[in-house]
Amino acid sequence: MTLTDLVQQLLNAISLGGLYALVAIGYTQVYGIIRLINFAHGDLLMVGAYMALLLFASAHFPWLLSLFLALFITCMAAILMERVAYRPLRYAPRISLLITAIGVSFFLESGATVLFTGVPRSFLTMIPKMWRGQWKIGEITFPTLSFITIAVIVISLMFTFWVIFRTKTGLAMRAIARDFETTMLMGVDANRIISLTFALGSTLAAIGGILWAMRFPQIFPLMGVLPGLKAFIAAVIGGIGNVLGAALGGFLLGILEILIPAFWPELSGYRDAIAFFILIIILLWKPKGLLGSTVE
Amino acid sequence: MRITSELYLRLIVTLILFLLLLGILRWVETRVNPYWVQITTLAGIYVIMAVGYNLINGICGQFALGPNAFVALGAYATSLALLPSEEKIQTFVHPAGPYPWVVQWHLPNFYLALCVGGLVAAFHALLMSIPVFQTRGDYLAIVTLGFGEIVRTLLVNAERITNGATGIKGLPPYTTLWNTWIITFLCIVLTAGLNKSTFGRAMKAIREDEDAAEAMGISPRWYKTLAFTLSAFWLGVGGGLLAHHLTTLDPKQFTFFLTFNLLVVIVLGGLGSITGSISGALIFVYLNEVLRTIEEPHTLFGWEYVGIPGLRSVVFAFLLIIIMLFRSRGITGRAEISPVTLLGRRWLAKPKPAASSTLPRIKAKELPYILSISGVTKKFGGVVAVKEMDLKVTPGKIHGLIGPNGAGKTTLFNVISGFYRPDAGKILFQNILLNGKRPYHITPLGIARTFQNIRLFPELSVLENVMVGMHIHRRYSVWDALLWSPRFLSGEEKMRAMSLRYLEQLGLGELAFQPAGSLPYGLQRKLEIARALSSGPVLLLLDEPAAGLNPAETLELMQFIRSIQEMYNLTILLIEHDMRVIMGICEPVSVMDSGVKIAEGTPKEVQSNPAVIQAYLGGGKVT
Repeated sequence: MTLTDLVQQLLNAISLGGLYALVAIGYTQVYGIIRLINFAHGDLLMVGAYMALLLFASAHFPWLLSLFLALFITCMAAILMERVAYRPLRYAPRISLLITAIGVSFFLESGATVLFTGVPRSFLTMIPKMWRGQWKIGEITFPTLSFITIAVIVISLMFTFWVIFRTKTGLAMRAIARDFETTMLMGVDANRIISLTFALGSTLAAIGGILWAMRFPQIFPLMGVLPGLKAFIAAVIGGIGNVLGAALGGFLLGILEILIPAFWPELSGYRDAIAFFILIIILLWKPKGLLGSTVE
Repeated sequence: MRITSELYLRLIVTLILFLLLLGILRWVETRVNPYWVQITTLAGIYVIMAVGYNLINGICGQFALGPNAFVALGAYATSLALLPSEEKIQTFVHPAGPYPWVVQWHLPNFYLALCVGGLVAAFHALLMSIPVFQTRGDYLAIVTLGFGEIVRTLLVNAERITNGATGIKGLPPYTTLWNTWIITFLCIVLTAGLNKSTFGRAMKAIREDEDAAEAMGISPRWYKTLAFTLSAFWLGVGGGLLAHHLTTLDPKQFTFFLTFNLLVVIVLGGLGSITGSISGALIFVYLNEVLRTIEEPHTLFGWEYVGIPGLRSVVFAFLLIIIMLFRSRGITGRAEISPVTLLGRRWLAKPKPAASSTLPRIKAKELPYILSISGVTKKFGGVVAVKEMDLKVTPGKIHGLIGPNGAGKTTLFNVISGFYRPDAGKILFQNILLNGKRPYHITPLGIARTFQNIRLFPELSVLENVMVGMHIHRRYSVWDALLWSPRFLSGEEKMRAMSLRYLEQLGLGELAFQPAGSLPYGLQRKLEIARALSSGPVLLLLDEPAAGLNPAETLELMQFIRSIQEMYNLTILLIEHDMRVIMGICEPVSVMDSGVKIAEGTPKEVQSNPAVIQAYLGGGKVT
C-alpha cells in the first residue's frame, strides 16, 4: 500500500464514519426520547438527496437554494411522520411503534420507487465543478470532495452539539430523554421538543444523504436502507441515547468498515456484514454500548 | 352425547377439518384455473412461514426480525440436497473444484430434503440463539435483523456451495398444491398442539411477564431457544417449498423485504394467534394477486389507466401503518378459532371430580427449620439493601416480615427466590444451598412466591395462569406435545381437570376462562396466590398480599391464607404493612429496618419493642 493509498483510505474512512455519525445522532436522540428505533430515519437520506436533485435538475432552482429547500422539506417530512404515525402510538406497546416505523420505512421506499422508478439516477450534476478535482500535496493526491465532506460533517456536528449542549431547547431534549413525565411537569411542551428532535435529526440525515449521494454519485429509492441500518448500529455501539456515543460509534464503524477490507482484501465481499458482526460483539461484551446507558 | 375431553374433541374436529381440506384441494385442482392453483400453493407456503414466524414473535413475544435467514437457509439446503452433484458442478459458475463435501452428495427424496432444509435452518437458529438471547427487546430485533443480513452475505460469498450471487435456476417443480397443503396442515396441527401444551403456555407466560414466568419454574432461555428453533424449522421447510415452487434460487429473494412481508402477514392476522397467522397469510397472498391489477394498464369507462408498477408495496406498507394505528391487534387479536370455540363448551362434559383432584405437591423434609438464612448481604452499588441478615423459619408457621419502606424486605425475598445473587451469606432451604441458583431452579425445590405489584399473565385465562403455575409438574415431554402422544393427551387432560377443581375449591371456578387481566383487583391478588400455590410449594413467600385491599377484602384474605396454610400444611413467609394481618395471623414476626433485623418474636412482643417503635415513628429527641 502506497502512502497515497493509505491517506486516501484514511480520508475515506473518516468521511464515511462522519456520515454514519450524522445519521446516528438522529437515531439516538429519537430513541432516547420516545424509545423508538425509527426505521424510517435512514430513508430520510433518500428523501433529502432526491429533493435536492429534483429541485436543482428538474425545477432549475439555484444550487444552494435547492440544497436548503431539500433540507427543509426533509425536515417537514420527518415532523409529519412523527405527527401522523408515531404520536398516536405514544402510549401504545413499544412493539406497535416499532412495527409502525418499519411500515413508514417501507412506505417511503416503495413510494419513492413508484414516483422515481427503481432505476438509479446520477447525482453528478449536483457536485460543483471545482469539487470534482484532486488536490496534490507533495507526492500525495486525494479527491477534493473528501475534504469538503469532512468539513461539512465537522461543521454540522459542531452546530448539533451546540444546540444540544448549549441551548435551552437542547437542555429540554436531554431532560426529556432522561425523564419524560417529570420534564413535562416542569412546564416543557413535550410535543414541541419531540418535533424539534425529529427536525434536528432529519436535517442531519438530509445533509448526510446529500453527501452520501455525492460520494457515489448515484441515488436510488433504497439508498438509505444500509447507511440507515449501519448508523443505527453505530448509535448502539456508542450507547443508545447518548449523542456523543453516536458520533463516536459512527466514526468507529466507518473506520473499521474501510480499514478491515483494506488490510484483508479477502473480506471485501463481507463488507456489509462487518457492521453486524461488530454490533453482536459489542452487545455481548458491553450490552449498553461503549459510553454506557447514561443519557446525556 | 357429550364428549368428555376437550382434547379428544379436538382430535375429532381435526380429522373432520382434514377431510374438508382434502375436499377443497380437490375442488381447487379440478375447477380452478391453473394460475390460481399456483397462487393457492403459494398461499400454503406463506401459511407455513407465518405460523413458524408467529411462534417466536407472537407466541413467545420475542420480536425477531430475521426470518429471511431461515427461509434462505431452508431453501438453499433443500435445493442443494436434491441436486445431483454432477449437475451442481456443471451449473456453477465458479471455476472447477475442489468443492466442499456438501456439494458431493445428494438425497433421493424431496420430503427428506425438506426435512434437511428445516433441520439446517433449526440448527443455525440454535447457534444464533446463544448471542441473540443475551439481548432483549429492541436490541434483539436489531441483532436478529443483523443475522438475516449476515446469512444472506454468507450465502452470496460461499460460491462453491451456493453458486453465489447468480443463484440456481431450473430446480425441479416438486412443490404441488397437494404436498404443500398437507405439510401446511401438519404444521398447523403440530404448532397448535404445542401452543395448547404446557410448553406453549410457558412461551406465552414469557411473553406476558418474563420474571413471573421464571418464578413459576420456567427457564426463559430454554423456552425462547425452543420457540426460535421450531420457528426456524418451519421457516426452513417453507423456504424449501418456496424454492421448488418458484424453481429458481436467488439470494435477492431473501432480503429484509421478505421479513417485511412476513411481518405484514402476522401483524395483519394478529400477533400470537395461529388462526391469525393463517388468515393473514391467505389475505396477503390473494390480495397481492388481486392488487396486481393496479400495476397493469386498464381502460376504465373510457379512461386510460396506465398502471403503476410497484404500487402494491405502497399499499401493503400503508396497510401495516393503518393496522397499527387503528387495529393494532390485527384481525383476530390473540383469539383462536379452535374446535372448542367453534362448537361451544356445551359439548364438553364437566370434568369428573377425579381421584387425582388434589394438586401435586413437593414433599417436605422433617427439619427443625425449613429455611435458614445466615449473614446474607446484598448491595446495589454503594447502597447496602440487606446487611448480614439472619432468619430462621420454622415449618408450619406463618412468619411475618415487617419493616418501614426501604427496609430491604422485598430485596430479601428476591435473594431467597433467586432473582438477586447475595453478595455474602448463606441461604439454606431444607438443607439445600440456594446461593447462585436461578429462580427456575428454586421453584422445583419447593419455594413459590408472589410479587408486590401483581404480576399475573394478564392475557392468559385464569385457568392457564394456574396451569402455568403447575409447569414443574408436567408429565410429558416436548416430543409428546408435538406428536400428540397419548401421554400428552391424558397428561394435559388430568392437569386441566385438576386445575379446574382447584379453582372451584378456591371459589374462582366461574372465572376459569376469563383473561386474568380482566379480574377485579382483589381477585387478581387471590389468583396470584393461587398460581403460586399450584406449583405445590413447601414454603410460600407472599409479598404484601393485602396491599390495596379494603378492610373487608383484607379480612377475607386473612381467612384465605390461614385456610390454605392448614389445607396444604404450608409454611408461609409474609411481608406486610397491614397491622391487622400481622397481628391476626403471623407468629412469629421479624422486623427489618435499613437492611438489618432489629427485632423478632410474637406480634405482642414486637409491638412493644422500643427499637421497632423508633423505626416506625422515627426516634430521638425533637430538637
